[in-house]
Amino acid sequence: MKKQIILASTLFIGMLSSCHQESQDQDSTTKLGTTYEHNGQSYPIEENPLKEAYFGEQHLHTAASMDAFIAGTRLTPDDAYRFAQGEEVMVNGRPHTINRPLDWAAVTDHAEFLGEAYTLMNPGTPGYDSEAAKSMREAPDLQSALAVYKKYVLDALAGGNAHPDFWQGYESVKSQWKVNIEATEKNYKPGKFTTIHAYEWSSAPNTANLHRNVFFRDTNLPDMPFSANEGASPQELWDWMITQEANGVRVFCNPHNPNESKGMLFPEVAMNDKPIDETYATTRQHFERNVEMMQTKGNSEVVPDFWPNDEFADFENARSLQEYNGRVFEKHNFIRYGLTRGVKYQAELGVNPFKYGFVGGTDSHNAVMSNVEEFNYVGHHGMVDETALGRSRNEMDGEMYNRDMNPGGLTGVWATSNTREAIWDGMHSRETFATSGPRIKVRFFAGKDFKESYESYEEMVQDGYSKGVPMGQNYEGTEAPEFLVWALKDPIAPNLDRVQIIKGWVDANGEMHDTIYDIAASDNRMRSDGTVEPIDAPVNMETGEFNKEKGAPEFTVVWKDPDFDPSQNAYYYVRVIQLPTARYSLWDEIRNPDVKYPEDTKRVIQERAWASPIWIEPKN
Amino acid sequence: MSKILKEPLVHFLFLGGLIFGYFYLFNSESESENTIVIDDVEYEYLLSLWKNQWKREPNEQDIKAFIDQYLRQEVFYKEALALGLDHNDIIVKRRLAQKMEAVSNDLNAMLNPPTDADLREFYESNDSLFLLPPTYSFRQVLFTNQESNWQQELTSMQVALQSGQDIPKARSLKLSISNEWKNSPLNEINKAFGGDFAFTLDSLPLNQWVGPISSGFGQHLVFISEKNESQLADFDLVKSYVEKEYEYLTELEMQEQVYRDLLEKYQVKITSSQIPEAIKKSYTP
Repeated sequence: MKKQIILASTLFIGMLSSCHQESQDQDSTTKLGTTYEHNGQSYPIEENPLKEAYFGEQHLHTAASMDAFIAGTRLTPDDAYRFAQGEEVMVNGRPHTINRPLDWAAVTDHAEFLGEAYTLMNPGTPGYDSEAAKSMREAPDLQSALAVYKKYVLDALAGGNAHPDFWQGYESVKSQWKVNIEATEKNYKPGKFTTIHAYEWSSAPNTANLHRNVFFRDTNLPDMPFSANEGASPQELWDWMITQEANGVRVFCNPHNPNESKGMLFPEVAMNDKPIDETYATTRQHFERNVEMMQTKGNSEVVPDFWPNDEFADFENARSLQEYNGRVFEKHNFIRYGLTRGVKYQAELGVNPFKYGFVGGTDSHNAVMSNVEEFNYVGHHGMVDETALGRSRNEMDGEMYNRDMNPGGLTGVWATSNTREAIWDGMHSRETFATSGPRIKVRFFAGKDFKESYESYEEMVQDGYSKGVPMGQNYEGTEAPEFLVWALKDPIAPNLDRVQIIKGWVDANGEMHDTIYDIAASDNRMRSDGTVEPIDAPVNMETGEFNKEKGAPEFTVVWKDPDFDPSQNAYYYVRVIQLPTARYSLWDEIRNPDVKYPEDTKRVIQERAWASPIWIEPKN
Repeated sequence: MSKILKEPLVHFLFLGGLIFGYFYLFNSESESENTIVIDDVEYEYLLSLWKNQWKREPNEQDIKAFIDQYLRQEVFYKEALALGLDHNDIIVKRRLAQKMEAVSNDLNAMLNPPTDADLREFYESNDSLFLLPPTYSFRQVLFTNQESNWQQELTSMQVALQSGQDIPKARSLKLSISNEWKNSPLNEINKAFGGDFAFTLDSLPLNQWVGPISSGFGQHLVFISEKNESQLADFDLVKSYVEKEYEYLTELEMQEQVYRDLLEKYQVKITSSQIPEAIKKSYTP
């Protein structure tokens, strides 16, 4: 514990110092020093041709999101970036730090209420003293905050009013957007910490969540973000993005929470009721590059209801979200379905509208970037889940039970340097992986003539790129591909349980299929029929400690699909499973003897990583 | 006298007096209770608020709107006061308490704007706040606990490396972890290795291969070529951070002292039997 304290106190100073060291952790064989220019200034940075996995946050709200403000958040975009770099901030009145600083981050405040947020936070501005603004600022407790939220946000939206009465028009939207831009610029430290200009487009027609986070490559930015108030259909968002591109703006978006999309994220028809056609599919693929696999409001990969044979499907499913807004689970709401439907569209239209890589985020409304570690969780939604007691028994109004929420996921991006362009490009080319929180690293290539085993890491990575394609791309060969998978544990977490490849495809009759292959397992647990004996590595329920003996720190596997058919449209993605660890609910109970979560709450989880797919698109 | 001048409470009351005096002077035209005056001073104030946000001159419609907004607020405000709606309202109480605290904070900033000398003194007497983490330059070779004979391998490798042999290819970038680290701060090393690895380095001798040292990945042989003890960050480099810390800590001190001094004016009677004795006692002089 003492070590942690020493570490925390030197952490921020450490960041300062590292800016002034010529070179550190430089491996002479693989990394090259070079110079990077941003806004007329030069920075010494490192380029790593093997690429490095940079961990960061791509989904986060600050006080500039009005719903977060009402819930009690006062931390600004600048505070959020400072937190991401290891500085202490006050979360719900208590000091808090991230356990491990991030490599990069993006603030994604809701575009819809940016103007209101500006008024709320700037004394003396018109509307600041309006009844509604006051009640938002001064909500003394959870009940009043909820009442205010309902009255001025939900009811206003339902009544067709996009804004509460103190909204001062588009000038105020621009003012807040400018504040966010300035914070993003101020905190960019090329080579050390990357920030990305971004926002959230929050469309929810009939409460179906169609939200997208929008990311910009550089400082060529619009005056104002395009919100769901200006257009609630994804096609309207893309139309706006087309005009942006015509102005030289480089932009893409990532949808999130398909689990709350009421079947509308991976649809059969567009919002105008017209069937998905080639133009729709091409535009969607052009602008939509990754889908958020997991965040505080659940894991959207699969649920046991529709994938009963997936033994790891029962993981942070946020089942209670079904009790609100009619967001009942259906197969269409989950990413594995979406990917498979995507390859079917590829077969039908010649283009795949759902060609997504994977990212993870928190969607925290507390401005705490990637505060994803279970033992460090302090809630993500202001007053409602700030204490262990609140988390154990409250419900998040209109969403789900708080105990069904989780600290959220993390994104790893493979990039040659820690700069805005390199991180953005890595996400754009889908060379990304999502994790449920731990800093597991995973590489995934498809190619030919890989070796059975490699003498060194460097040789393996070089072979991956020279003889194959990385995650996020198409395998173009005509012969059955070899898949090269490498996975590495998080140094502060337990070892890994196994590596799986999930395959989805469409057969000659247009039927959709998916299946799971266990391709490697620790401790010699692989059976001759290809299944794996479950790991016996229990968590200590009194102390929360994980098993330190079992599992593997690293896997390197070359695998061939025994059922490969070159004429089938298909995708393959990787899932890496970690040994069991304590969920935040267990930490809360251990630290607060008076807090007892209901029996239905999981105390132990198996965290994981998902590497973006590689696609097979036969040219017929 | 000079002691009195340093008492925050004295400053606090003095400043409070000033604020009161200002309002007394400027609002004492004794218009009757139901008159609302918008004179040049008030108008300039409203205008500056408006311009502050919109960064342009208002047109007639804008002026009408903000005057109207102001009047609306004044009318309701005065009526609410007349009805005594401000009494025992938790939000009003909190807001007023916050205002008093803000006054003490402003007071602090006004009376004690830190000079460079203040900052330097603060920096020197609170050096633990401004220490850079120690840095290390080292090489490392990794063996995982899953290698069946890692102990043997490690021992023979130690001999080989000590005699000047290179790190063999099979162990270069093992688990992708760099073999060579230069001037790396403790926190970076800890983030990359996990376990107790980073914290063990301090106790290791220089310029020889030692091990096994455990990390979150396995066991390491380590050769440290340079250690730089934790040292005070250069003042000029961290000046803005020193300033922030200075302001924060003096503000807290001032707030606490003003609160304690004001509390002395009151006799606190805790009569509820449900409050533990220890807590009750802490409020009796």
